[in-house]
Amino acid sequence: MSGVLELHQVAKSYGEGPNTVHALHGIDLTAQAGELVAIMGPSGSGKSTLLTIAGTLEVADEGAVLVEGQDVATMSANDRARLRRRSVGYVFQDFNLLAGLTAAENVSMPLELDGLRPKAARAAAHAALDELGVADRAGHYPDQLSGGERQRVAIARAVVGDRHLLLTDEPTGALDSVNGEGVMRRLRAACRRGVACVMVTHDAQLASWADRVVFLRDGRIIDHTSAAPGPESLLVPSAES
Amino acid sequence: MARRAILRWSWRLFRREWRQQALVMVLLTVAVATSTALATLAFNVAPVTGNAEFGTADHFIRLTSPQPDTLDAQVAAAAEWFGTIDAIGHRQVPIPGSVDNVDHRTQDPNGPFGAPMLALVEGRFAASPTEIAVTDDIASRFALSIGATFDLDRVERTVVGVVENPSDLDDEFAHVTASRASPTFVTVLVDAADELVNDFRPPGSTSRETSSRGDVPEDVLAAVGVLAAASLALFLVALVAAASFLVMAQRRLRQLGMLAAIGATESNCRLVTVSGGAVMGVVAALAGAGLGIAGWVAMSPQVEAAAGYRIDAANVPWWLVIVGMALAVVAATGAAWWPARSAARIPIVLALSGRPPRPASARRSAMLAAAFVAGGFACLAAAGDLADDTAVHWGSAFLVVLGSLAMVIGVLLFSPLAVAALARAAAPLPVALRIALRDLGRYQARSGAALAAISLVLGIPSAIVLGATAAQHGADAGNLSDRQVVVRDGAVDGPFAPLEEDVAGLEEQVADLAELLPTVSVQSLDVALDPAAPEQPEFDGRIAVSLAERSGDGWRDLTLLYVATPELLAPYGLDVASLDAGTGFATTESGEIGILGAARPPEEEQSNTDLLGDPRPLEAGYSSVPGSFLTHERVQQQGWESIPSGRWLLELDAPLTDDQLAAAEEYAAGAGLTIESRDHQEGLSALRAGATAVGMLVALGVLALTVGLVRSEAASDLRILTATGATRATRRMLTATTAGGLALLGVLLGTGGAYLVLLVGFLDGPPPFPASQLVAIAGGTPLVAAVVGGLLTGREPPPATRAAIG
Repeated sequence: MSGVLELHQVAKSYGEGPNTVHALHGIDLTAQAGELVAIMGPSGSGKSTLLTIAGTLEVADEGAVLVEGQDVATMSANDRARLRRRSVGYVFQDFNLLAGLTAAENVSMPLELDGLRPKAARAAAHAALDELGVADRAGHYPDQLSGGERQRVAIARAVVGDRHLLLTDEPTGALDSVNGEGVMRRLRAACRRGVACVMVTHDAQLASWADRVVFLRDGRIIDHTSAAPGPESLLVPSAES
Repeated sequence: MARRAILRWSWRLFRREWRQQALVMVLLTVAVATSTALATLAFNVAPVTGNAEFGTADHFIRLTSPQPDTLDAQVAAAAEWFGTIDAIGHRQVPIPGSVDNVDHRTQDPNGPFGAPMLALVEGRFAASPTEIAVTDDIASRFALSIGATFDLDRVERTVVGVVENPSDLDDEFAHVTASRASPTFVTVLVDAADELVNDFRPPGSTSRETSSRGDVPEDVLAAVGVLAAASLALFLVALVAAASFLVMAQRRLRQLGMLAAIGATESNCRLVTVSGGAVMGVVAALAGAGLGIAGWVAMSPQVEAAAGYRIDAANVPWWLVIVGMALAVVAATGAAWWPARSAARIPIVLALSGRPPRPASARRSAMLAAAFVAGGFACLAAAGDLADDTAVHWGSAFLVVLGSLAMVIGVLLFSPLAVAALARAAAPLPVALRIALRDLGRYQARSGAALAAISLVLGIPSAIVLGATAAQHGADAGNLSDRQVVVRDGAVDGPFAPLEEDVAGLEEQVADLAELLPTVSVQSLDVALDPAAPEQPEFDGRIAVSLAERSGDGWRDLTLLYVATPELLAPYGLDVASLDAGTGFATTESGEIGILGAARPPEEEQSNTDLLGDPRPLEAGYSSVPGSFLTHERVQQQGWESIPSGRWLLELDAPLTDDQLAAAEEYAAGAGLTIESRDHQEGLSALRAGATAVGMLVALGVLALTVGLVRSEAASDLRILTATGATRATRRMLTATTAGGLALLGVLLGTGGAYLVLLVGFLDGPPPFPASQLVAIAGGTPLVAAVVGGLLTGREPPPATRAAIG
């Protein structure tokens, strides 16, 4: 079965000559639909580089990156931009909301960039914000929102439309534990809708929410495992009840 | 839809950052407003000099004869030759008890070409021989009103109207009908080809004066000239704008990265900044054009009063205004395009990090600069003289403009290299200086644009100062030495000498004038007169023999032929005997020389070209002392006479002081004499001083703008420095060094570039060295920039505020 995201023998390095830094070596990784994959590792291990390559923000030096079966290496810059609009949602550690746009406009921006009429895009944005519990903040600008609200808006922007791949970089890094747990619950909810989610974290407790954990060190995958059922598993019965 | 979303966000950003953009918008607005107002002014002012003489015609022919019948025949011949003509007759009627005349003018108010020269203010035009219409000054002088009787020429006429020359409000005349007017000269306005005008020979006279209006209308030339100057100003503003957009693009870099991360294409990202530039350009163009036209309308009454002719405030050259507006939009959009393109091409991850991109290698820009300079050098070297006495050489003019432009662009393209070199040279300097100069290198793009603007601002006045210095003649050149004065009978000029009976009185007056000065000697300058030359009784003097040069199909007098004396020849290292040993004829003039004022052989139409043989060539000295001579012996051989020219050369034993000159001028004015002393070219000195002052002020203004932009992004560095113990003095030093460093590089590039362009393209002699102005520009500008920059900054930076973005 092919995954939403497939990385085959991906390598990336920066710099030239003696100053070359090998950020990734021969990475093989697959994320299936509905799967939450956590990537852990110390600073400088290549976690963020892996995520930016998966999100087509950077291009791998070697290997193949397939998003929904499409080889990113063969795409033009504009095709990659279209892929990001339609298929890939990215949640940054520091939110990266566009100043000057309201929460709703931030969420609707990828849809409008993709040619959707503003009214329809705004409706979809409101639905996404509502789902994340921040619909009442739709008309507010990012600097009028709290950290938790901004993160939820960022997640709404990442999942709005018909995205199948969600990439998150330390999604709770700037949040307190209560807000952090809320974010993880929403990521899991997205996965239940069939979204493949790859999450970079250095927090073992957050990684316990994942279906699988991949360990990186010095740009190589040194281990990968299925996580023990996390707190979310305890919540599911109560949610169902 | 995508574009709409981007434009919406761009507009929001524009509103959020309006303070940063307001400055550039104001600069653009002022540039457009100034160019609009000045182009409209030039468009309205320039044509009137032509209209006052030509009306709507392109040539005029002035026919002079004391015989009215002859003039009538000549006008009739002109009508037959050209077809449509407009003849305006003039007769100067003396005002009793005054040296002034009233011009009795016959002109058809409905003539085909003369409409811009005659208009009715009140009443009506003269329609019968017993009617007259006068200008307001004449009406006032003679206390005339409509219905009054006016009989200056002993012909009683009733005043029926007040008239004016709308193209020259100082033109005072009386409009009469042709009958009983008896004109002494007639101006014939014609619309015809140059050849047709030159071939016209009025019957019964060789006395005619023709003038051509030129091929291109003066209004268009003047307005286009203003527009060209305005384009230069817009180019300068665009450089400042480019620096500003670079700062804005850098500030927005992270947000552009975010936009790209959620799926915006490169063109989407580019559109954010470019649309901001376009909006600024459009707003500045509209506001500037509106302000410029409003300014023109407001100042047009003053312009009319100062210029002395009627001006229609609604006569706006709309096509030029629209071109100016379009240039503003293009300049602003162009200034935004490059930073937008650079920012959009930065990798997303780097953009998201917010770090400045690594400066591009300055080598490519330097190579391009070298290519431009070499191309400019080639163009300027290939260009010949821009013009001679008869025509402009358009090919050479094009090469000079192209070459100069290439040189300027080439010099400006050296800016990134200069910034990079300065940053590298900062290594051994103290920390504050090192940080400031390295920051210039780190933000090389914006520093380079700022430096280009400053270099251009300093280069223009430097070129003016150098050019004015080169044009200023040395002690052994010019019109006269500072110990010489030439005195002339005010009634004679050109090839004329005074009548014999007037000479004794003139000599007495000159002797009295010489008493007022520390005079060593008074030399009466004698000239040759050919008694066989035809008399011309209509003139108040005698026509002496003179040298002439070709002018079109005729000859134009150059200088009188003076009778050689030992004193006059001495400055040329020549004596009379050695001159007599040759042809007895010497001159500083060169080329084809003709002789006017001598009896002509029948085969010569207007001049004798070989009457005196080959002259002994003399090296030109002072331009107003005699430079063309015949020996007394040669004058006699020709059968000519030596007569006083009505000109005297006074040698002084000390340089003329201002007080002595004022006293001499006062005496000369009363005696009807004209005096000429050394031209000290105060105008050029004033031009140099003015260019230096204005150049420095504008450069400091541009520096203030650009240094503010360059330092604005380093606020966080300043906070870190303050946190690590940097004092107020260190913070002051940072800004002072940035301002001083940019000014110093600007001086080097601007002044160096000006020297380069002038030496390659315009100067033949050694390079001029206007020491005081160069010291002011080269030393003063960086010093003032550093001191003011240091004094106005140094405040402790505010603590970091909450990040504005999510």
